[in-house]
Amino acid sequence: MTILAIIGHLVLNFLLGWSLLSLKPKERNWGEHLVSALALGIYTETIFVATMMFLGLGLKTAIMITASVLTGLTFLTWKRGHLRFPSLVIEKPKWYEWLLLLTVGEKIAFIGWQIFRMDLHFDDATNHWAGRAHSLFGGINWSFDPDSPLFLGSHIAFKNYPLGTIMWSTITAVMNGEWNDVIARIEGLVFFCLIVATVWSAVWRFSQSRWFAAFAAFTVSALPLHVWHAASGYSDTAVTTFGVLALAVLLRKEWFLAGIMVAGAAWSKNDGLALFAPSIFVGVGLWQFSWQDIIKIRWFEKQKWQNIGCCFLGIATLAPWYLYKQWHSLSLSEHMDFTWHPDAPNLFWDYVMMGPTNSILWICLFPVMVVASFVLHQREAGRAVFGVFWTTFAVIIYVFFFTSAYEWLKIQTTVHRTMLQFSGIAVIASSYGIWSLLNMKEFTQNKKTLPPRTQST
Amino acid sequence: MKKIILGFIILFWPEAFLFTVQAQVNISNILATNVNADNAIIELNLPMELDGRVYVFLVWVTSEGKQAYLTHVAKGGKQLYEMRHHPEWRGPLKLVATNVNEARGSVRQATFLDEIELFLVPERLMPATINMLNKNTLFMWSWNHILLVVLAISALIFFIITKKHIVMALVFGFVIAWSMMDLRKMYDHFMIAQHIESQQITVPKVLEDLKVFLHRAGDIIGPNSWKTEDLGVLFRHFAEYKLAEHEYLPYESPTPPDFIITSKPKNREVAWEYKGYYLVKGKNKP
Repeated sequence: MTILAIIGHLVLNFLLGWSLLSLKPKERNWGEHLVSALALGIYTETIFVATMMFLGLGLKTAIMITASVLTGLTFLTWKRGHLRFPSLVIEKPKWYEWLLLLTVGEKIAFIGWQIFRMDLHFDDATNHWAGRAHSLFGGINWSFDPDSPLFLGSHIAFKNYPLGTIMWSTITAVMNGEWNDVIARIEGLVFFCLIVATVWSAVWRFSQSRWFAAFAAFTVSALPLHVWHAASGYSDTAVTTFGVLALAVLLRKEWFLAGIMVAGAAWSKNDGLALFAPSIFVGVGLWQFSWQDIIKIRWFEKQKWQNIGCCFLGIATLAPWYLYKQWHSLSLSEHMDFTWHPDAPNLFWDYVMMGPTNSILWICLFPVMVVASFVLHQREAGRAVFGVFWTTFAVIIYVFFFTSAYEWLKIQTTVHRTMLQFSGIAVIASSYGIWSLLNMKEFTQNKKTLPPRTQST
Repeated sequence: MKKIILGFIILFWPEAFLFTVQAQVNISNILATNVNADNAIIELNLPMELDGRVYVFLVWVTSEGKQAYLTHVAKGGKQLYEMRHHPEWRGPLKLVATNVNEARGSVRQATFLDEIELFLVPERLMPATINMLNKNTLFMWSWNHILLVVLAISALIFFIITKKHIVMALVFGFVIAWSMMDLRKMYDHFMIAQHIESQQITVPKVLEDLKVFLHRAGDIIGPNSWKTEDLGVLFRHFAEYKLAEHEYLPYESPTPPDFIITSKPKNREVAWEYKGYYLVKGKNKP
């Protein structure tokens, strides 16, 4: 029954996302369409249910109304003939793609084994994420009354943490009829698959190279901490997914959807807003305006501002949550003092760049980005990638070097999770950087993006 | 998961060979005296029932009288413990001891096979695994450094012999190094799964007793209210998650709970007890 509930929920999410994507057709291949639809469906459904609960409806009523409205939307989209899916083209895998499938399959098997064989046990999952979700499902230990000690599950966790993954697990449990530890964590496996698929398809789009896409997908999938987080019940894998999707759809010039993906990241964990809202804005902005435009103050082209506005509107879809937080004076995150920590760079070098948790990913990736940055700025998409990567990194440095979050660097906890959230974007960005270095001649001559080899939907 | 910071102040009385650690850990099991630490490791044999349940403190005194220690999660059976990366593990040592009285072991020079065994020591499934992973070393070299050397050599070969573009050569070098890293991690995954399956457990051992306790406690609590008391953070969170469908009374609540889950029963009526965990009746519960 649990498996059926999970699959059923994912199918509903996909149908919903598919319907919504059909409202604004864009050039996407089937892989991009599938991944974007599923993530969009998960986000839309959970924010919709949460909004109705903020308005005072009970959990089951909110789910019923959401299911009715969203099923109706899907039906109408189908009825009007808009529900189209790109042709399913699956080419025969090459030898290196078999190897990729094998290595990703091993990780999926290990994540699945943890989820189905072990109880949920990692600490933050038992309180902030699955702990609150289980309380919401049970009902008795959950309240929307701000005066209650049970307000948003604050008896066991921080009430200002967002509800994205919590809502998703709770809805799955309602569909299942009971709570269990598989439901508490299964979204991590789904999100892990989405990360790998997103990196693969994004790199394939700009490189048109199967081996290079496989290389990027392998790099992100093998990051050692991923397999633990995907089975842990934490929300960091969800943040990684929405973050990497935000960059992937940005590279398809889907500004509104890029904003929604940022909202999805922020809806999964507060980190998502801090990491990806500034960086995606910078990325979208740098796509619109060349350095010459910026220097010569050629800032007034309406279409460009519309594109930036679309991205902002996408993020604004999370307004119900922020309005609710504002209404109840919930802070965006925990209070952080501003202080420079002189030993932070050394610790960051030892723990993140040279430590075992991330293996050699960052020590290899940063030099690539430094060198590639000299080439990236010559093309619109390159500028966007440059902006997204370095802005996200700047935010991370600010948080861990200049605020009291330094403590989480010092004891090697949150810093590794934050780098995990950054990993998807970083792998796409560095792949783009490598590709631009390998094709420097074409890259510097052709200042526009290459037309993608995809089908219109 | 918040890291537990233990403030160790080791007091040492040479006459009694007794260490006392602030965290109430007695270091009284002497493993060796007057040994040379250069290129030496520790081999310990621990009972399987301690596997994953306790911290092993390995404490030593240098020839200058300085004290140092390393902690490891206990591993059941015969296991090697890497010590050589510690700056104080050098030259002649007066004494090496541990807190686990059941431990039998010795300090000895690392052989070639020991080096391989130390490299293949698998990751442990424990609450801290979510934050950071273990460092692997091979012949005392950090595995990351070895991977970087592999990357550089592979890239050089691709660049010089196969005449690849320098960037392409570096990419191929990275693929080889990253694949080696991944293979090592896959080995960890396999060993963890094998270990868990052979032990027939479903949670890290540190939570195993609490899980059994909570299963029965939930049935007893039923529709009544409960709260926790004197439980460590990890254990409290685990209990709050497992019993989330039973009425929880927050600490601010003016009404006393029907049941209290605690590690200290304090002469109250115990409704259920299992390996140091107690379900005691609250004031209003007849």
